[in-house]
Amino acid sequence: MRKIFSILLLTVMFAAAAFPVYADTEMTNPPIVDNAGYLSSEEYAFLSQKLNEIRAKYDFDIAIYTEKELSSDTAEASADDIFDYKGYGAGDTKDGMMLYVCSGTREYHMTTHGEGIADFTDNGLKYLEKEMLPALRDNNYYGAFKIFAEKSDELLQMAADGHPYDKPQRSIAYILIVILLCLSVPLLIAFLMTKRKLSQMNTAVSNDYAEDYMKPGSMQLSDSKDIFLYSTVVRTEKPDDDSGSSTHTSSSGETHGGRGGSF
Amino acid sequence: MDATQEYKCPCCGAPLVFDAGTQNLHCESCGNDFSIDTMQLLGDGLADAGGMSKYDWKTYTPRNYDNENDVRLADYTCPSCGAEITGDDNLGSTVCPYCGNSTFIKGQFEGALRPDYIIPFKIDKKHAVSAFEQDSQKRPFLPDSFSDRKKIEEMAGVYVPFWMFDCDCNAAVAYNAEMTTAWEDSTYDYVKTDYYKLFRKGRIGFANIPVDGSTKADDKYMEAVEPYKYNDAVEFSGAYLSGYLADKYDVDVEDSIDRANERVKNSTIRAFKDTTSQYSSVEEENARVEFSDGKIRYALLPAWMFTFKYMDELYRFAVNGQTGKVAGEYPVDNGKKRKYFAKIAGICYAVVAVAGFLLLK
Repeated sequence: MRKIFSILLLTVMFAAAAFPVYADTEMTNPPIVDNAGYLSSEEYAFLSQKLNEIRAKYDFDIAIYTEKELSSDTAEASADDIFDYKGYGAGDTKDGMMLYVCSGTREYHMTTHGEGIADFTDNGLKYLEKEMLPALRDNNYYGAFKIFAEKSDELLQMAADGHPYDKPQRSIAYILIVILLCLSVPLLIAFLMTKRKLSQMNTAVSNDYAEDYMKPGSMQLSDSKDIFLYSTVVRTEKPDDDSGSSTHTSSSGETHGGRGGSF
Repeated sequence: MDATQEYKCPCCGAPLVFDAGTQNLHCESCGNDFSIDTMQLLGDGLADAGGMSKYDWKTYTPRNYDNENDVRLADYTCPSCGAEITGDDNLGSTVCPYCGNSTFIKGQFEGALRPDYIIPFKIDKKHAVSAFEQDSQKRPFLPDSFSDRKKIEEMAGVYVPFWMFDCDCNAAVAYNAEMTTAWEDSTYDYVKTDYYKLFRKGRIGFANIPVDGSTKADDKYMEAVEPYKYNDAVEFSGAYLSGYLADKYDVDVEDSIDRANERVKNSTIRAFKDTTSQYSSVEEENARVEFSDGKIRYALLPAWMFTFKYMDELYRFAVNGQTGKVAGEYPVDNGKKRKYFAKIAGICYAVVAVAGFLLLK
């Protein structure tokens, strides 16, 4: 009898391990849909397990979806529509994040929704993109998706700790320009100020004017015309806020965050 | 005969065409419209300001000295720089104010080139030395060793010859002006620039514009110690030369006229520009100045002058003998200059390091 009980208990435990239990909500979509056929069955299984663990850990829908052709006009619209119409997202607010990759156009897009918009800030998505993109460009899709899963886990943990990743992502060119300015601006200021002081060493300078010799009250205008010719208006876009998450509205009317590009 | 008047766009210079719909002149290149009245006013104004300036000075006839009964004068020549100086007969020991040489060759007083006016010295040597010392203390990179009081006290009082110019001008000036306004909304910053053509026409008078008449006295130095106040000017008398030197003009009045014309024109443009202060930017486009019967006189103006040798270089200084204003080119202590540069660069690096850190954070 004890032996049968032990077998039953083990069976329940294995079953529990095989089918993840979500804390509050059920996420019915598989974590990976690989219509582009990028992954082997082993890779698929490993990544599915990894993403399911993340889903369970944060009660947050994280998914990867690949296609051979764009299902909407753009990668962004395709990702948003798949997320909205196929029922991705956890809980009432449909919290989630999906990596969408199209093999035909070689485009990718990460779409966020619900809590995912705040958890994955613009800078967080840039960071994720920076880490994942080299592998994607090398056609190392398994590697790219693995990085995506690991870095998403990292960012979700930071968000769960109350500090979503929002460190500005600087390009090499930006860093080089800042360093160059930091090195050259002090020299330039010192040069200009020294030059200004040097000019005080020579007071023997010509005077091209003769205002001192103008007869008092002698200036009388007999005619004064100000003629307007034309106007120009220059409009400059204000720089983006360097932090937080920017959003847009998808075809279903849902608010999404996200970031994408080509590889 | 071609009776067609062609107008060019004030914005881009392309030809304007008459638009029957708006009754305006339209530029197909930049899209601007201009009324015919505006274009006619522009044409009239530019024609006024665009003509040749006309400077008509009366001819100056040099005078000779009368019998100066109150003081005996003599001519002196500096064997070093060739300066020809008039002074009293008993000049005593003095140095050449232009080159620092300590001997003069005395000659017969010729009595030519008698000035019309003179502004007598108001600042004595003691006050001139004090004015120079105060001025030198303000110079940031002055070498510490540059303070030989004995040498400074060798400064000589010189009456420098000047041509004086008086004129009452008619002038017309055209300016290009801009007025900018800025505003913003949530997405964009906007800057609107309105472009104008300004015309100013009127009269302006100048009296006693001095132009240095001596080749030995550097024009830069003499203009730098200006202004001279002519309410102290008196009819020339040889008595004022007692104890001082007097240079004679060796720059003819004809050679000085161009400088007077230049100063008259520049000052007229600037004086008329003062009536355009409501604009954010105003640049002169054309100016025409015209006068006749401009008066020219010959005057002696007082200056204390001396030279200073430092590190094998000769440095010249002049002090206005009426107001005490100092002009000169001081030697530079390169050590002090480098120290100042390093200090400023150091402070800036500290500030920039913080700014750089924040930018890269």
